[in-house]
Amino acid sequence: MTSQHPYQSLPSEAFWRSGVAQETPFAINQIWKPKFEINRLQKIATAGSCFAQHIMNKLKKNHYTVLDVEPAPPGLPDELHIKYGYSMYSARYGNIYSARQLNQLAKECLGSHQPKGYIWRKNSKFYDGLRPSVEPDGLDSKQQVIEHRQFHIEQVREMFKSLDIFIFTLGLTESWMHRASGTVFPIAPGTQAGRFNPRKHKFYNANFKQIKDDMNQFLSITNEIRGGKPFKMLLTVSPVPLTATASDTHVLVATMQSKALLRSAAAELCSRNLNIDYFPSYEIVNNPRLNSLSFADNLRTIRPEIVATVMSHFFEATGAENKKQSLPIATPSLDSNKIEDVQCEEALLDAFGSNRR
Amino acid sequence: MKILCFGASHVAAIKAGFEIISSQEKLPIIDFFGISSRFLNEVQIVDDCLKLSKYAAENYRFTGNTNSDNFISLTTYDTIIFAHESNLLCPQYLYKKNNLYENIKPQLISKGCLQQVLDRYSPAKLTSQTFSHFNDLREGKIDLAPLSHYQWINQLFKLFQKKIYFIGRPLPSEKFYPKIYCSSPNSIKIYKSNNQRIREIAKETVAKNSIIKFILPPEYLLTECGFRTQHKYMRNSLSSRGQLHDANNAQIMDLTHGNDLYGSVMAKEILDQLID
Repeated sequence: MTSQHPYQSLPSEAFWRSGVAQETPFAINQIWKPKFEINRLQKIATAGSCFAQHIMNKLKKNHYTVLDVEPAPPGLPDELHIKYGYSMYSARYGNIYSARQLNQLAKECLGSHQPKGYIWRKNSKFYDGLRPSVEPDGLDSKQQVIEHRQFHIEQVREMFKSLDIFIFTLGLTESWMHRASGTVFPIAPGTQAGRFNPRKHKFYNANFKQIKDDMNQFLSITNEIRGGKPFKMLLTVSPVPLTATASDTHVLVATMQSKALLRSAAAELCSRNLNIDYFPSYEIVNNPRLNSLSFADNLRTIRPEIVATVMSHFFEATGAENKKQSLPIATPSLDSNKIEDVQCEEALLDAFGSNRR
Repeated sequence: MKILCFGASHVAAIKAGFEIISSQEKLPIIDFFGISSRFLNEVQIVDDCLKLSKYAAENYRFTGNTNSDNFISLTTYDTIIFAHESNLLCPQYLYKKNNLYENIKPQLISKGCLQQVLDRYSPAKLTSQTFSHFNDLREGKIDLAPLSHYQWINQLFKLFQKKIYFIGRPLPSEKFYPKIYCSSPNSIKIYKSNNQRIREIAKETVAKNSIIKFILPPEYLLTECGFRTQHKYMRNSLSSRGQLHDANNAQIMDLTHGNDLYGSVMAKEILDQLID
């Protein structure tokens, strides 16, 4: 008589050998089973860390209804859109790396949070420290920064009201905080503009509970902004490693810790909310079967072929595409100069870090 | 100083404007060259001369001298007034419809970004896209069909760098597709803010002696949004592009060409800049 056990009737994707070791990493069967329908008629808004820009690009190219509440001026050449923070996401918020940053933005839209210490200066120009990259030339006065921020927040509020699905990529746990107000910034003051002052600014590294609480608050606030109108959220975790860490640990350890926390928080949120799903872009990129081939020479930037692979899984699962027809070329280029252009303030740390070798 | 005012149909208003002023004050020597926009592709610049094809030669107006081979020497001119193509304040280069609203709502645009948009006429950045291919333009039925004349206009701009005064064409009448752009008080405020920055940039091109100097229509010619011309400054009887039947007056109104009054205001603006 053969003994019975729970693993006997499991499908092939439940086993490492058949699900990973013997599976093509470019078309992994059943890696994502969407909890809800995502179609081209739903209004989709995107936000998050650098990797989320790829999602926005691919959704647009595949004719999904992606909101863009702050569209680029038609006369601005396409190659300058990203420089001025246009066409990256559904609004010009730049990269939103952390759950705290997202929560803070939603609070600002609701009117329950007024950021402090966010007007940064560089030479004679002024910058919005909450999205310093969107105006690379800076603005002429503090008043202009305030006006542009007010305009931006109005547009983001409309975005939150109108969207059907919000796609958010969790990127970092580390951020820099204005001590007095708790305002967090996407990048440390002093890197792109502004001045770092240890009496005014402090390092903040969110733990699991803080990430989860911020995301839950975000859900609750967004619900309030929308007057209770339900919406869906698709979470991803950015597979892009940290450029640098201020956590006093090795950057490899800090990266793994950060991603593990974000991934755990995403799983927790997903398991407790029917309207939240998780799309495993992080896992597809970090699949050991790819032997780090997902990354360009710097072992950080995701190669375009892999981005295409990630999104083909997305489109296949949502019914928009047959993944078998969109396999990448067998020997993808490793030329990092050909990487699809994305904006990543975090990369500035690499360019300006004092220990750069 | 010898000036060439160059363009297509919009040269007519500027010419009329200078003629009005000439009865009041002494003007520099100005020649006017106008050619139907359909024949702009039939023009070339060869050896510092405008060379007109057979078809172009049958469809142009010029107050100066032409030789028998349809060459117009440009070397005799010190300055070009360019009365063609989009005005810097044209909203279709600035605002785009998004999928939340019925009409086009404006974005607050920084001066740095506006500078990039307005730099489109710099010789190095001049492309066919500068002149056409915008869906919004086509929807508004205002712009020309896709043209390749940017290539020789680029040469013209290079040839006359720092000696070009760009006035473009008039902004269309306030009656021209009035509902395309949102006219809420908040939107008007944003248009004004952006227009103010565009005006600053235009003034700077003159003050800094830029490759191309931009002269904008004064605000009093325009409506509140700052990108439509008050109808009294537009031609009312010329049949051309951008025409509309006026039910009240039973006439065809031209909504895109300035009239003599418009021309005289712009002529004064140009003279003010040239004298400065």
